[in-house]
Amino acid sequence: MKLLEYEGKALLARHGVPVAAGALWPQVPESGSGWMVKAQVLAGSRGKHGGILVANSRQDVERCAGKLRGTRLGDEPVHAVYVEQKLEIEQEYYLAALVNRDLGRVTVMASPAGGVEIEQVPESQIFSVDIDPLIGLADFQVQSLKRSLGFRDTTATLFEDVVRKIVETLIGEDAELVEVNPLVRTGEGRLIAADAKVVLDDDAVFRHPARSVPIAWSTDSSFMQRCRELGVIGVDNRSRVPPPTRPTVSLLGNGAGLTMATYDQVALSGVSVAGAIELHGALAKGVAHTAEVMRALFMLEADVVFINAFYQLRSTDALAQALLQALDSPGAPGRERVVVRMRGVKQEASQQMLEAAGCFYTPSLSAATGRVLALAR
Amino acid sequence: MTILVGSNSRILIQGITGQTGRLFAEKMVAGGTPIVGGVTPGKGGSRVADVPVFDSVREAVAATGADAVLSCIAPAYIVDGLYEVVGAGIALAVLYIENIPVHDAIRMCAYAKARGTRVLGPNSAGAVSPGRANMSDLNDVNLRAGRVGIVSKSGTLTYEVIEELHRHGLGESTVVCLGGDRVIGTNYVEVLRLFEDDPDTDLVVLVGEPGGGLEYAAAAQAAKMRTPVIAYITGQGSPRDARMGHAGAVVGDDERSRPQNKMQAFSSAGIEVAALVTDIGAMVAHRLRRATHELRWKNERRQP
Repeated sequence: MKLLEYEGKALLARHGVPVAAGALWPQVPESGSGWMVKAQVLAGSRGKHGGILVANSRQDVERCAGKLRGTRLGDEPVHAVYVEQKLEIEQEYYLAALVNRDLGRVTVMASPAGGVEIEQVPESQIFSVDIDPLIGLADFQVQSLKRSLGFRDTTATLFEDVVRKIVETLIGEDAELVEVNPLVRTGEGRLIAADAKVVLDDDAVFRHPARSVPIAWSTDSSFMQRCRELGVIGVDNRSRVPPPTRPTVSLLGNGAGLTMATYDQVALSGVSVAGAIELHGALAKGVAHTAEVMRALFMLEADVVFINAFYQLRSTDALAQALLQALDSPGAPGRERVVVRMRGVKQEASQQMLEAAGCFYTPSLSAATGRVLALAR
Repeated sequence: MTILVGSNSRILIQGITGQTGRLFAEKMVAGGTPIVGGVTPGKGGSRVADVPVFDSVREAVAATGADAVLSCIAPAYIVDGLYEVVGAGIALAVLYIENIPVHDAIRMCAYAKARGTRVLGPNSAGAVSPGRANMSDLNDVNLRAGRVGIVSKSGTLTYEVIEELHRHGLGESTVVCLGGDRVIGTNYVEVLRLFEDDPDTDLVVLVGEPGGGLEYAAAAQAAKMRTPVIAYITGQGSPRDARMGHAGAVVGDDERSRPQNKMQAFSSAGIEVAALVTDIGAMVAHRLRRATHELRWKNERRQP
């Protein structure tokens, strides 16, 4: 999960990375040098979209914050406004630690060309080291980054310290990415993290029980919130599909690969997908729970409902029962709009049950896709 | 011959007395998979599905000569569990479990690699050579021995690819599921190389997905191989930043993570790419027919 700048900075500060004095508006930190008023959004390039404003007085801070709060930057809602002491910038660097999936290692990337998106920086200006997890960040690696960025004297020591602490933050907080862009060298020779982009590992939440719920979740749709409560993976695509392009399909699959492939079968044929649920083992929690998952799927209010489940060792009975229970609830779609493809142990029993109830059933993905597309067109 | 698992495998189940472990043990015994025992600390001396249970992997290896472990233990014990498997000198470990913190996966996989244990997963559906050994969650009745290899991250999507092959009268040599997590123990290139050296594999279906960039090295490897490869990348329609179930399968800001760019990499390398999963069977059948013709044509020219 992505964190907002101020949430990320709180984690950095906890690991000893220097950040500017800041507070969530309406609180305003002390400053003798003016303030930066920053929209808290989950996407980058805020500056370009007018999400960062400079204020020279407290009245100015109020004016800027009033302008930013509750608005949108591009597609992104502004979740909060963060006010920081303005820094006197001598140079901007780039520094990040991240999980390098292809190598299966943590990589530290640094560049003397900070303050712009790293994708815009020529490769010759980007320096990186990969950390062997059996050894950890080695001193020679820190030294090589320091030399590559041209740090000397006391700032060099500060830089070494920041590199180590960024890696500590990444691993200690179970993050996938800790990006500081820019890392600012001030006129007084200090190094300060002027921005922070942190992405946490969803699978390590249990190790950090004291962490509060990320603020960004509060703007999720009720469908997404319901999926989270039920322990299934929800994808809500409604805000990305322009409203008049109806009819739409909602789909439910078991397993990520099959759910994505089913999504493609529909979406690549030019029919809009309102959203999807990946069951993520929900069937093991019983019929009543799975029926709740089906009801969550109906919250997408799509015109066609596509169920595609493929089990190897499990019977599909419970899934069929759950679907029929949910279809009996008020507000459920008509059965003629439901297409079911189920494979599993004793699938014939599920077929009989579903067909007797008036749902379309087929064991073939091609046939199911054909039916869904015909209904949606 | 097949790869990774076969008639000569000697398989252990770690966590054999748990619900999942017991299910796998019964399935393996019923299907004729060469399972030699299981491990659960404190349950040594008992039996599950009529195979012996040991207190430690080391004891199990000493008693049975086991060389492969299917790990079915709870997430809280998985890191320690893999260290034990590696320490006992096991050649292949399948980590069925998912939702392992990524920094744990990094450490585990690095340790296993350094000590010579090949890891499939985390979040792997396993490996199976039909009719010889089934170290996966696939049902033996849904498998058919044949000459097509499959390497995929996903489990459920692999079921679909197998069904596609069967629709066209084809079967599988070995099916290998790498796992859907962000950091996994074995990559496509390693498995492609094994298939290339396998005389019983005529063609490989490679299934990729959004996220990361392991498919790019796979495309370069496939281009070098005599064994033909057909690639399919799922998640082409997946919305940006949506986690579709696999921790790893996210179309991110990184251009390399996008399925379309991965497909392009395979096309540029001269590898055929299927647009939909339901296209795969026909493409494989067609490619194999062409390969047979080419071979016959070559042989005829050689012996006029």
